[in-house]
Amino acid sequence: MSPAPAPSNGKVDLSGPLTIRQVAAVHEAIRSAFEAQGPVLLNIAEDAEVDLSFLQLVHAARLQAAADGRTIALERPAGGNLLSTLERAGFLTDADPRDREFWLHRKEQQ
Amino acid sequence: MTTLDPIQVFRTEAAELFEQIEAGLLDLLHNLSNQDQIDAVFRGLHTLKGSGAMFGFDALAAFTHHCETAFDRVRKGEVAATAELVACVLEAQDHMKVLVDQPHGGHEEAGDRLLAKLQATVGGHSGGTVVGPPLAAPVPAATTARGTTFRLRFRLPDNAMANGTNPLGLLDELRELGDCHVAADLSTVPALDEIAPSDLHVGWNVTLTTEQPRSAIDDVFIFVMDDMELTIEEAAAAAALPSVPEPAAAPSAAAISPASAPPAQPPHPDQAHPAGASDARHAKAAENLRVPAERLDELMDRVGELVIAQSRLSQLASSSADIQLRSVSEDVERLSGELRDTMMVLRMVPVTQLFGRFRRLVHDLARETGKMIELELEGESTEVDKTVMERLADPLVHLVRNSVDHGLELPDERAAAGKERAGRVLLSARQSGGEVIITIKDDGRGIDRDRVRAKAEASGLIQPGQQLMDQELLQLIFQPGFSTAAQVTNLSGRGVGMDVVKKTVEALRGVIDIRSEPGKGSEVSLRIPLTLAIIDGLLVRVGTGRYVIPLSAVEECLELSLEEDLRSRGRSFISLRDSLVPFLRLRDLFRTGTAPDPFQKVVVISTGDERVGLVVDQIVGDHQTVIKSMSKLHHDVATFSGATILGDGSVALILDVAHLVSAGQQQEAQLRAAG
Repeated sequence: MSPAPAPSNGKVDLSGPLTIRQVAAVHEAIRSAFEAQGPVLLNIAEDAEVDLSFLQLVHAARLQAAADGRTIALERPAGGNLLSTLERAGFLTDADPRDREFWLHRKEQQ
Repeated sequence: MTTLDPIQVFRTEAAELFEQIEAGLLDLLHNLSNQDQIDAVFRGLHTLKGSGAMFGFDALAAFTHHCETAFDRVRKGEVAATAELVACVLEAQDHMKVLVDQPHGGHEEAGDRLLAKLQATVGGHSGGTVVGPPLAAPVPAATTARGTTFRLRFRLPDNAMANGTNPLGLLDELRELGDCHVAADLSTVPALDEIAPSDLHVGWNVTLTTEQPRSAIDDVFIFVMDDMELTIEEAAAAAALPSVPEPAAAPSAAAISPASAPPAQPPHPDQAHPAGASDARHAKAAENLRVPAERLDELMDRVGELVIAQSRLSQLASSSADIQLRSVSEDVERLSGELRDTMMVLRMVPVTQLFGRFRRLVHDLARETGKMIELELEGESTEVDKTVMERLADPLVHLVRNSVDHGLELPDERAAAGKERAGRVLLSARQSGGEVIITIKDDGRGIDRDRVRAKAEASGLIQPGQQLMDQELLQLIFQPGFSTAAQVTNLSGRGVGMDVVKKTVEALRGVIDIRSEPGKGSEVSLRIPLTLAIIDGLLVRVGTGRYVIPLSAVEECLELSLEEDLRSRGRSFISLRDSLVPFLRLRDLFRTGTAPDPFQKVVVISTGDERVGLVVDQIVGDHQTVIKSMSKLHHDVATFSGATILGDGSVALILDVAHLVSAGQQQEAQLRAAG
């Protein structure tokens, strides 16, 4: 995993494997992003290998953002491995429109 | 701190699984329709397959898969469990052990042969090749075309991901069973500031429509079943329960307002365990800790060195007038004694681990010899030092094989002699003082003393017509090259083994007693010290040398005045409560060349029923004795079993009690024979 160094603008670049082995480092990187002002932007590489621990961590970040009154978003809609992992894990099944918007950037009728 | 090799960890776990599978199979033989045992064997095979695949033992996983599938058919009632099937799976298990030890191929032929045999035994497919999925589970007959809908809710243990469990893999397995609707339950995921990121906080609600039975769902969770929360309900039943909600969508993170954060975490309505159960499970898991044996050995060495250092400190303190030093010395002595006792307990393991393997051995022997054998185990909870247990394994195998091969008769022969058709072999263990006594007893034909004598005379072990006490005659079977078996079999009869048994037991400072009654059976007892590392000893002086007598063998100490010593010259017996006890003058035995102390002492020691007195010049006192092995140069010195380092740095030899008692008894016999 290569999360970017502590960001100054709330953007975190996440590439390489983003699995249970790297989850502690990713956790720290995202927390650092919350220290900056403004929205938190997660830039997940399209070919990044992700697992459930990463999905869970992003969900925790969304909860944190909601609690802090902050905005968090993905730089690009989930695709590739991230999308298939979301589907396998059941994160998108019966998902709330706002969840779908967060992960897939799809606005739907509510 | 060293890191455990994961492959070694798997091998350790596999060894435990093999024990579990083997025990299940052998238990199953007593009641071939016992569903619990069938399930236990299946679970063992399934876990072995899964763990093997996880650790890269692909050949093992593939081979075990076929055995598991065969047993699955038994489990589902499609095939009856038979003694043949049990024997076949036991044989397959031996092959699995090979695949664990040598995972890099070269065993395909043997594997294919075993699978063909297994296939023939379960009768699933005729004539087909075993390569591929020959034993695939058929679709259960009772399912409908539409199948059954199950609603599942599950939560894995918090540490599931960290322990290598892949929850997504479990979901994939569920999807393979049928039409599957999987929704993550994110209601208990903490916010970023609170989350332990490697713990698993996600649960799942799954609706599964499948033609497979419910047991197929259970199988998906078989690895994690013990620690997880899982409810499975058939749809109709689930619908009748108002407290069971529909599979829910993941709660929306975006929907949580800042004011309501952190999100409430209502307990699951279907939570299988009450609040705090997770903690209780963790506490339970923490009750046992697996520690590599070499670390215990290392700790034992350190304790041994501490005991020696404490001994030196005690000696210094006793010759000092410093009260504080003496007080500290006494504290250290007490603490090191307690540490030693604790360490000893850590090293003790129940003999059940040792006895377990004999069930399989007897099963195989029964098949090989055509004899009917009932194995009885007693005292399996008796504990013994792990090193002692490891070293006893081979001698016991020899003794059990000999009981079966030489002792037990064939069923018809037994019936003709008015005995039960099934012969009985009893393997028992019990603790007696500082010893563990392991007994192998059979109700066979007993040892033919005439044949033993004839064989011993023919091989020059004894002179023709030589007078021998019964025990001496029976002990001849432990001589190298001795065998009374008329026919050499692959079990015994080559004369190799019983002498090794004796050597091994003696190396453990143990002794072998043997009893036999013609037509009624034989009994061999191994009396072994509980530990090989540290013993309580009685330190004595003989001449200028100091020696240690294991305290567990000491019965009492008497004074032998110079007058009594002079009176007893030529007799070497003392009268002890109306019985004569032979004694050995260690000063003479060790040729010290010193004059006897005016107040010599007799230390009466015993093994079993036999006693002998040892005349020493002085009893110094008790001594925690850290046993050091004798060097190879001294391995033939029979009088001593080891050495120890005293507090002043000097070396004291440890007396071999069994040898001295035997020498004393021989002396008695010679004197009696001389009239």
